[in-house]
Amino acid sequence: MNPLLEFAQWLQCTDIPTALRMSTYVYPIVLTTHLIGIAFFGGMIFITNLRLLGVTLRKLPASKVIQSLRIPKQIGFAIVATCGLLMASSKAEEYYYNWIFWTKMSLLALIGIHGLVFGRSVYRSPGDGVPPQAKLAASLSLILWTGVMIAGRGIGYVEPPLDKLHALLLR
Amino acid sequence: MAELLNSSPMVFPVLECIHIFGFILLAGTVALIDFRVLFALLPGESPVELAEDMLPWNLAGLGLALTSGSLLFASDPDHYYLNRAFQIKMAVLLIALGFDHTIHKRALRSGSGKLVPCISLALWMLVIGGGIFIGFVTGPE
Repeated sequence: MNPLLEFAQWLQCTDIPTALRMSTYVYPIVLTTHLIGIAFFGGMIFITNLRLLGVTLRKLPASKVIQSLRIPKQIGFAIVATCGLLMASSKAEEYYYNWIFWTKMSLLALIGIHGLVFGRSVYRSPGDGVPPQAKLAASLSLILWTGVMIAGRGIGYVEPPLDKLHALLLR
Repeated sequence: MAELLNSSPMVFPVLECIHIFGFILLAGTVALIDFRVLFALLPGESPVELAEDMLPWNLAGLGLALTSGSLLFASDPDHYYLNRAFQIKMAVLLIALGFDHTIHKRALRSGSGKLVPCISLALWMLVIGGGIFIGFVTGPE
């Protein structure tokens, strides 16, 4: 059997994901925290990129905006990702078959690559000026994050393949 | 109206995405201003200047969230207006918007304390929570 599928089934049946799946109100609270994090800290990603595009906060050097928002964005990402992992693990087997979930994970991987490509030249550039690749980096970031957001909403619209779900018996 | 909105299964999820995008702008800009006051982010700009810079994006987000939200509501009004979470969300939304454009605005000018930004953040968190819980409470069918 596919080791990833086996892992998903095992993960889903561990204590915390099971408790989350069986709860009535904990799941929506985790989802709410996920979305609060997205609004509060995703908004910072948006503003940072708009600054790189030169359409807002023009009085502040782009490097200062990036630097000042780096730690809060990292904290925000940790909160959002933790909630996301909790929710995904509670339905791991179902998500294994969910193509939009994998699209979202692929987009997040692309964002990781985006960070590697532009990290040094744009987001950690030492000067106060806006480097030439900044607009490209900001546009790609906006597109990728918007894609993550759309895919995130789309996950819930994929019908679970009930005939294939094994861990369903353990609910 | 409801018929048109239910004519394709894609209409609802597309509106939901616009709604999410809108409230990221709406609540995200308010949160940025509140974090500015609470944690001295973006020290190069005063909270008032930051609020002025954020206002167009905040209003754009409000416009997107309200328009898409109204259309989501119109797709099945009976389902929503009887939903307790929806009722609470609307009440808190009105309070949050009122607070944002009165007390919050004035507090930024006078530079008074951390209570106002905390209340502001809490109100928007409740609005988002109300929105999520709409899908998790069962109304009187």
